[in-house]
Amino acid sequence: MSPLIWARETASVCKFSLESVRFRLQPALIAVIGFCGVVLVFIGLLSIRDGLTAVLSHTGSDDVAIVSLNGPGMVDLQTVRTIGDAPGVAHGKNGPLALGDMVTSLMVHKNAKQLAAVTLRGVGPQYQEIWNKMHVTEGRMFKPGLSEIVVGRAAAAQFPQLRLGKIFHWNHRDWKVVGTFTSGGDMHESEVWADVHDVQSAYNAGSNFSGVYVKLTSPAAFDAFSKALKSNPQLSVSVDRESTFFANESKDLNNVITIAGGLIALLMGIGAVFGALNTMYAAVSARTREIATLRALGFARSPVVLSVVIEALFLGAVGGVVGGAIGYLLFNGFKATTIGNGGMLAFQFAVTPTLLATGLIYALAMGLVGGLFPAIRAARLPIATAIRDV
Amino acid sequence: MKYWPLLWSNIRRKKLRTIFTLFAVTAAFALFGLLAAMQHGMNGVMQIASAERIQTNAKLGAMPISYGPKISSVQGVTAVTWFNGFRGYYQDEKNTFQVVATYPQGFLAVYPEVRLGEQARKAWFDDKPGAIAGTLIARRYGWKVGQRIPVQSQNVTKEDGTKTWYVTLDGIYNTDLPDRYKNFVMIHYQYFNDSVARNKDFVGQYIERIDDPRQAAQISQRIDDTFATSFPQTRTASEVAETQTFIREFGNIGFITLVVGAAVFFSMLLVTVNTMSQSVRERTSELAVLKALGFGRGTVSGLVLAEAVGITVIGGALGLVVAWQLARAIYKSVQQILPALGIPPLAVVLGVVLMILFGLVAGALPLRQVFRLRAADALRRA
Repeated sequence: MSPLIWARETASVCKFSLESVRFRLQPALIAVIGFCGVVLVFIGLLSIRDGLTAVLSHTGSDDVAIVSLNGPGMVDLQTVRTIGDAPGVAHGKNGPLALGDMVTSLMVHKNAKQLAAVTLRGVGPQYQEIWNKMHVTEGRMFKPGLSEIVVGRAAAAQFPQLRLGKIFHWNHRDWKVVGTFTSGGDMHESEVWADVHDVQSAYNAGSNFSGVYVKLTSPAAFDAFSKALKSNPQLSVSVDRESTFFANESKDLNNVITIAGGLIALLMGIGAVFGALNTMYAAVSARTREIATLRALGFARSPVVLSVVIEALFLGAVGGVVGGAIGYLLFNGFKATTIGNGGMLAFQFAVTPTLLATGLIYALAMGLVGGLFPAIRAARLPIATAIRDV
Repeated sequence: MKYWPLLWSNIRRKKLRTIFTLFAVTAAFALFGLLAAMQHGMNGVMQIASAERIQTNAKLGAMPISYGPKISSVQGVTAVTWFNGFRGYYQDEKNTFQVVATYPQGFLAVYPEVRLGEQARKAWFDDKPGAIAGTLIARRYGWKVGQRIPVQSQNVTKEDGTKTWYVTLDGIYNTDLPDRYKNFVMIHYQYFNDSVARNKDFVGQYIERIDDPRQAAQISQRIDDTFATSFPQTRTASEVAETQTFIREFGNIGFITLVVGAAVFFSMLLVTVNTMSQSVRERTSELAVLKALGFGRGTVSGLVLAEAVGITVIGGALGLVVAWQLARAIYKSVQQILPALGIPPLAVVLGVVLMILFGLVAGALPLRQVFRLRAADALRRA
């Protein structure tokens, strides 16, 4: 058979079978709803992961390194200086850009009943050299020595006690909220910032720090910098790039969501495929006479097989597109919080184009599996008996 | 069981459909089992939490070992232990586990859940470079009591510049806690502190046992007041309260997953029930024939219901087995957040009840139609 005739045969059989779907609307609809549900849940669960990843991957730059102690304890001033002398450290007006910071968590009332942990970060005057995305959008920046704080946009939205102008009592001190800030949508927007020396004195910490942030001369300087610190016998520290540090911190949560979401979607998919198999077998048996007639008229096996597969793919595509659209409307931008790095972490569910595409491919795959076996049965129908039988 | 051949031929009538339906039920109940395991993984930590334990953390930095005696003299505290330690591995860098440095006497007093033989206790208490290990980790590496084990640390260095800590295994502990807690190597804090190169005399966390759980908040406050003007200050809270906070914070996501999953489970079952009912409906006239032949209502219903329940129970049981295996397979990757991952017995009972219930519904729905129809009409229709 010439390819042209084959194509024409296939096209006409497919057209015929797709048009006849409306006569088998109920089972077809059940299959579509099945696919649609799977894609919806798939997108819903994985949009949580993608939303978290979006916040964390926005956090941190490649040319900033985080130095922390191995084991418990604090970093003293001498250690900060030693770190500042390492190769690859960028220099500002006042010497090397190695900034000690203080990180702890505040317990803040979310409402009358619930307390939640919020990360409090004490930063030095050169903070803008490290965190250049940070901008005060309301009010002003804190002034050192006055126990003033600025609150990230997401934290201010979550906690009524942390709004502009409020006074927040914590650790035997009154902290005044003098500003709110944005930070390019990263995790610092879930934090509260204060002057590092205010935090040190509120916690009786002397001149010790919890970690050191270092601005490097370039992203490529990281390896030499890290090697120098690790081989320094006076130090026992670990060095991470800021851009990967936070993603690693939330690896466990990411794992759970990916595994749980993936398994749930997989099990649902298996269930939906069996549903689709039933639907497509029913479709094939409903069309027994039609298929047998086509075959008797001289149509080859493959166009018949293809028509059944394409019908199933069509149902899968409809389910995938509808599920994706509903998923996007329902989940994209949904605001949620979780714990990350010791405090509250606000994020939004993100239905990304990749996720939508994956959902659609998944739906098509389910359609393919659900259609293939019934299609083979259709091709194997003994023509003579099939026509007589029905 | 004289009806068995009839039942069997009904089941085989459309073999493929029966198999697909069975597997659809399997998938649904595998999902059910998995959700139950995750739910238990999240909330099961509450059962681990003891009301008689409180925990003290530094608000900032690390607490010195000198806090220990001060805490044990606080009124209401009956025993204290403390933790430090490192991430260690054995032979291969991939075989990682947590090495916990603690005060042995205090540890066993604060954690009565940890079972260790009398002899092993004594041996461990007196043996400074001695260690005890959980049953799982001991089995995994084939460790025997009395064996000298080189434990490597990932990044904590000893005074002599090496990273290998030699310990003698004095005992193997067991516990009813989830598997994660059977994978620790516990060593003497003193041994750790004497040989560690830097950050000496620090403690990551103090855990206290208290005499009266109702006084937990007051005792916690007394501890924190003791260190109000020291560095670091402390934050003490009951294990139950800390766990609740954790569940609530993480719960946001967990809850969404559970709700979505539960909705999916029920819709999967409904679709399956619909398919099963369809298969009975197709047989309306046959059933009418049975009635005409003199089969009673009870027998006919029994046949239909037995078939439906048979499919849901067999499929469902398979599903629970699949879920159990899945939960075992993923435990390692999720244990940090879901330490108690596992299917609780109650969920199995609930699962079986649901299987029977949905089987009954799937059979009973079409039966109503069957009985409404008079045998004569049904036969005419056929």
